Amino acid sequence: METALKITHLSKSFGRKKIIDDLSLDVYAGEVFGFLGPNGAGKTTTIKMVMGFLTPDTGSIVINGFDRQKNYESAMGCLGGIVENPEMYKDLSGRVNLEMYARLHKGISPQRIDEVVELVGMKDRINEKVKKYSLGMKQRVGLAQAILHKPRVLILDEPTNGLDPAGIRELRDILKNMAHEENVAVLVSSHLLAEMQMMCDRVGIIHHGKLVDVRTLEELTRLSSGSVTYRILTPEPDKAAGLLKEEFEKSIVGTQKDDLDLEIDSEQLQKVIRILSSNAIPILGVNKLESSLEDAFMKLTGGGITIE
Amino acid sequence: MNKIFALYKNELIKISRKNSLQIILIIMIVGVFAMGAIFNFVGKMYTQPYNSANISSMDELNLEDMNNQIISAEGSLQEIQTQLDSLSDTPENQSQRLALEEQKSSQNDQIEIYNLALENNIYLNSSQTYLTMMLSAIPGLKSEIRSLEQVTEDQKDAAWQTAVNSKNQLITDYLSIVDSRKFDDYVTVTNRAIESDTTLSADEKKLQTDNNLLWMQIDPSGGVEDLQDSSQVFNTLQVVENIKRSIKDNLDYTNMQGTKPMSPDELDAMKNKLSVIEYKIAHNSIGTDAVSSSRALGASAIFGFGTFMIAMMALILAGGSVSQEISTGSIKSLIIAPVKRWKIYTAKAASLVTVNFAALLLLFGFGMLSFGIFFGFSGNIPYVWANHQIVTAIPFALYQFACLLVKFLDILVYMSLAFMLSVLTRNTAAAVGVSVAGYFGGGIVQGYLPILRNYELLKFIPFANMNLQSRFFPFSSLMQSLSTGEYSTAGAFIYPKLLFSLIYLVVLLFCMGYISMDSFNRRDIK
Repeated sequence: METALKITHLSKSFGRKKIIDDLSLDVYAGEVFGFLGPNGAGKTTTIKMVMGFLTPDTGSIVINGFDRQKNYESAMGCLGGIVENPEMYKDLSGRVNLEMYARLHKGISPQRIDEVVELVGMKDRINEKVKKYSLGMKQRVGLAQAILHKPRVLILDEPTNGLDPAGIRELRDILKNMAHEENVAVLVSSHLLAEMQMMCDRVGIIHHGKLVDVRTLEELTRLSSGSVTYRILTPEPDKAAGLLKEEFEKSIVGTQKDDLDLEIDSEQLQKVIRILSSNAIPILGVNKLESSLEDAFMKLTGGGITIE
Repeated sequence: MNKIFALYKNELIKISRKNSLQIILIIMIVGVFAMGAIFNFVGKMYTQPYNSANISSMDELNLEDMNNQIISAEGSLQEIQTQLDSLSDTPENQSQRLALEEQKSSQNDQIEIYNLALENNIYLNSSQTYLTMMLSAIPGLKSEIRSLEQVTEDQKDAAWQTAVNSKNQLITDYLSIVDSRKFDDYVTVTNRAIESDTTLSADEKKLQTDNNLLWMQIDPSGGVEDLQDSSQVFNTLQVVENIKRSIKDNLDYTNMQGTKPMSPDELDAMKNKLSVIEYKIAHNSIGTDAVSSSRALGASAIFGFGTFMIAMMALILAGGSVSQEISTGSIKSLIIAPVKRWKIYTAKAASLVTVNFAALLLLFGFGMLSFGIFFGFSGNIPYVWANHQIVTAIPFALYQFACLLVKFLDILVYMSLAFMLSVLTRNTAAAVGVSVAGYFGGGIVQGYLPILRNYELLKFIPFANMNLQSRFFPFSSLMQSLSTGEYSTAGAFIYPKLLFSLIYLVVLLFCMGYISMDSFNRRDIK
């Protein structure tokens, strides 16, 4: 697979504080790569270094084969993206903003602008001033700007911010389409795991400025699918826990006011129900809690979402 | 290069859509017309007291004043008479008696002149005209004749006789001119008297007769027609005489601080000044009349207000150019674009200069239009300058434009300061505030420079090298009033030479540009 974005041994400190610590990462053409991490983990800092906002202390960034250090303009020409919120010139219309951006790239025709505007669904309002746009509309124009020059590497920092559910779905489709059909390398950062699960092919987890793990989506789901959590709804969870303690002590995840969580498989569940009913503990219901990326994420980051 | 041009174009689009720019430009244009209207009105007020309607009230005051003078002269005459009567007729009192006799005669002459003036409707205490000059001269002439007659008989030779005759002739001529009222006769008669005066040197004679001829050239009415102008005419004559005398003696008589010898440069400057004044007189464009002064006032108000607005605009735009983009986040789309940062910087700087220069052109256009509407499109005084006595005249409009360009130099310096602060502090308020303070404070510092004349190193501070208008156009003070155009360099802060100042400014601009570009290129945008 062709490496579209290659980050090697990247480090960055703000003052004495090390924000990014020897981070290396490859993003391949034709995939959606999810950049996952709690707030303050270093996602945006990494993205800002790739996009040229921050100068790395050490390490190199190669975009589509061009070293950012040596061949800045060629490298940046292959890159598109949005950092944090998309900010445009508020007194100008969305179209003028796009035209200004287009002017800085080679060979973008007015037709291409129309095409992109249509793609992000802003055709009707593109001539309005940006200050009249909602956050979601700005996101759409921001995306249009990011893909205007057909970049080989597309980087989006929390792109679903402010989008409505329909917009999120459209975005997902656009990104998947770009990656899988147009062979673009897409890097998406987010702290929303469910979202990642739906659009990413691979996920990299960043924590305390280090890349903790990189897995394909299947690997991650497999990692978390070893056991399932069942929630038993009962008015007497403590009593129930006491009865089950002997056999399932290690499986008890916890009790709440009206329920008891157990990490067991379906066979064990039958046994639990038998024990409880033979002891006349009313079972009002059993829920299977969906295991997800979240669990894997918690495991990998040690469960702690701390903001530093 | 294409990318810089694309960035430059983008910057122009961004700036032109800025509300602050549009508002300031509108206020500037409205203000330019308002200034024209206001100063047109002020100019009319300024010239009004000298209109013929107001002269009659001055007449009454004058009449009363002259009668009072006669009464007081008669009073002192009586006093002299009493003193004479009380003086005993002894030889030791002879000299005192003679002095009192002389005083008595001169008082009599004075009263006679006052009466003569009253008869002929000449107001001696109003501004100078050839008529008042003649009447005032007569008592002096009579007194001179009396003192000539007191010499012993053997001294009364042919030369003596000529002197007495010529003085008597002058009195007779003056009295007949008071009747005939011919200014050119006055000039002829007076100049003939000067030529025949044996006590004067040839140079001095030429100086005085030339001055009388000049008077006739500037004001053929001899000062009787327009009361406002005549004092200005006398000013001009006085200045010309002083300059000529200074050149003749190589001593600066025009200086407020006192007469002092001139260096070759100063002598050259003095000669140039004389050439300029002579050119203006020859082309009838002295510009000291009330209409010209109100025009000059109007022009300076219009363009002064306009440049002020442009300066504010420049500082606001430059002070916010980088910091505002960073604080609103709109810089992102520039950083992501495939252009190096120095190109972004260059495009921003170039667009700021362009926009402000365009505003300057706009000001010039609207300013001249406003000036034309309120003060007339034609008949304006050109700017005249001389180098090694070769005189060049620049049309009024071109001169105003050149002045704007010189003022633009200062704006450019403070704009660079604002731009630099915008990049360094990334704080719009700080950048705009400090540069506006500098723009005003600089003038104040420059105002205090003259008292710090002993510190030569002061020429290395920026303020000594700014506000170059008077150094670019050293003859501009001659455009309105000759009396204020005096060189009073003695004791004043010696400003560096113009070339030094220009090089200084270029170096200063380069330094500020380099510092801010370096910072813009290197610093992280968080």
